[in-house]
Amino acid sequence: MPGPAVVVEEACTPSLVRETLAEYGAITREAMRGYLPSGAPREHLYDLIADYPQRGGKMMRSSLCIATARAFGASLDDAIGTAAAIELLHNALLIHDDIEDHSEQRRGRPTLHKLHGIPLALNAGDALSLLSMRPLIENIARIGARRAARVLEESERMAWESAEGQAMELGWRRDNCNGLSDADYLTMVLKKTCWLATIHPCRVGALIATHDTVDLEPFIRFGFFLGVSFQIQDDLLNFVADERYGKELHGDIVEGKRTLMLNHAYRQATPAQRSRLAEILDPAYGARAAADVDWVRDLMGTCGSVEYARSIAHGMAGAALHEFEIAFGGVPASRDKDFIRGLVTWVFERT
Amino acid sequence: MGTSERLHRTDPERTGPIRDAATYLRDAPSGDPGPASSDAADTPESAVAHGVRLGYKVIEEQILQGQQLAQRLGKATGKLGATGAAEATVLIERVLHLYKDVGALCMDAVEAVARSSAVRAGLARASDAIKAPHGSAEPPPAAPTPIAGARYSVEVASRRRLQVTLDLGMRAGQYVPRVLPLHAADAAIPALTAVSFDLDPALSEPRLRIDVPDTQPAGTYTGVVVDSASNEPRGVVSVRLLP
Repeated sequence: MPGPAVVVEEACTPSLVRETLAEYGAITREAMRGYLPSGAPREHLYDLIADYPQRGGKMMRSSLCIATARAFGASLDDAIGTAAAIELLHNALLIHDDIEDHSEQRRGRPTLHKLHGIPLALNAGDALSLLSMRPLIENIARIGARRAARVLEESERMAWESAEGQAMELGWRRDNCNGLSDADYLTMVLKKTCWLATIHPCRVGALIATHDTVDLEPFIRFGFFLGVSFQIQDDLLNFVADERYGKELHGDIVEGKRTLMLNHAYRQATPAQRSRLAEILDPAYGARAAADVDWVRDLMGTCGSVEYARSIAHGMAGAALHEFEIAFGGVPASRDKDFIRGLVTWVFERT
Repeated sequence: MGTSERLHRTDPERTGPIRDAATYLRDAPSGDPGPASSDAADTPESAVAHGVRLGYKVIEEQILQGQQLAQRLGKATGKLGATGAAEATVLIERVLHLYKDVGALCMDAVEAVARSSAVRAGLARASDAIKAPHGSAEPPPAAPTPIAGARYSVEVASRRRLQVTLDLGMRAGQYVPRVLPLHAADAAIPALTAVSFDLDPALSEPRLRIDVPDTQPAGTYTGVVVDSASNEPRGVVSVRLLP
């Protein structure tokens, strides 16, 4: 049943969110370091594997996992392995995403394939993905075979959803699909972004803490609305990118990504504009020149697509707050619970 | 209208926006008639409502798909406290195996202790010390004791042809067995009650004794073997009485 459309207050995110991200992020990084191999072949593999994890990042996924587990009563030790696995897999997928998207920058530095070439970067991504299995296997000794098996099941589902979402987006671009609906976009983001970024961390965190006795369905809704507002804001940030953002300005247009703004602009455009847009987005068109990118950006401005996307993001955040009360309503007040709720507004203040 | 020809309008190709994620690989639409002035949200407020409505539609469909997939795979839906039947069965089996293993481990430990000559000598001395004050020279009646790795003999008293199956699993001999009455599939048929385990004095082996009345109807009779100490089920005795 649709919830009320709530406009999120543009209040300043409590420092609690930043502090918790820093604290849990540091703990997860330390745990990840323990899994990064240090022997040979360093130059061609292990240095590459360690690159993205060492570049920082928000550590939102792992922090959300730890915070959910602790909010439901688990110890930090019970959740840390799963949190590290999430972050390792996230970094592995980033390597592959950057190759697939022809991205040039990641976290303020050249992407791994730009530094080392596609073959070595691809192999490093595979290895990092494999490495993410290790903490899940060690979970057997850490939290017991049954819970470890359930976390593994959840991880498998998350990985499938992510792969399907990525396939949707890559397929749209390859086949130059235009005129996509908002529902198409939301389905893609649900799979590509939300499962790994928000849904999975909440589900496994709650699973670990409650020994798989709590209903995990509400975390799908909460994670979806939080993840969608996160992704749309990420798309919007691409219009005001700076060095802190760590990606190219208008990189999404350069890569031909079917963002909410692009889809909206296409739907709102005149037939002539649509033809021009479809031509620019066609992979056969070749590299998009700066003038093409500026034309698309201006079209989005003319069509009000940026404001439209911002409004949708705010609506999604409002729904996320509504779903938070359902998913976490029965949990005692705690710093971790406040942190998770604070993430909803932090999404709009991050850079 | 009189006899004039009926007016007929061409049916519209579509009556509403097509929002179907399954169409994500569709080709670029052609001949679109200009700007989509009917886009679901023209103002920020309506965009918010539109987004939230659409969001719930998408996520509910995803959850439904997940539930259907889980049902197809015979797994739990993940609802509150709802462990699926298949999962529950597996869980119960795992627990039973665990208890069996732990029980067997305990029996092994007891057996190891019982077989220890030092322990047996100590027990004998303690037993003598207890018995001595009473001055009883008569040994106590022999109680059935488990025999590790025992072979079971079967003794049947019957005028009829029959087949006997005794299945005690791998841990037979580590407990004193007791067999419950053997029942036929038809509850109206009287059970075989003269069935028991004892120790064959000649062979010093445990023995299954079955006494079949002459009037017993033909059929298959089955009874459970339990550990006489704990009443835990340990195996099955089956008698197929031929006509």
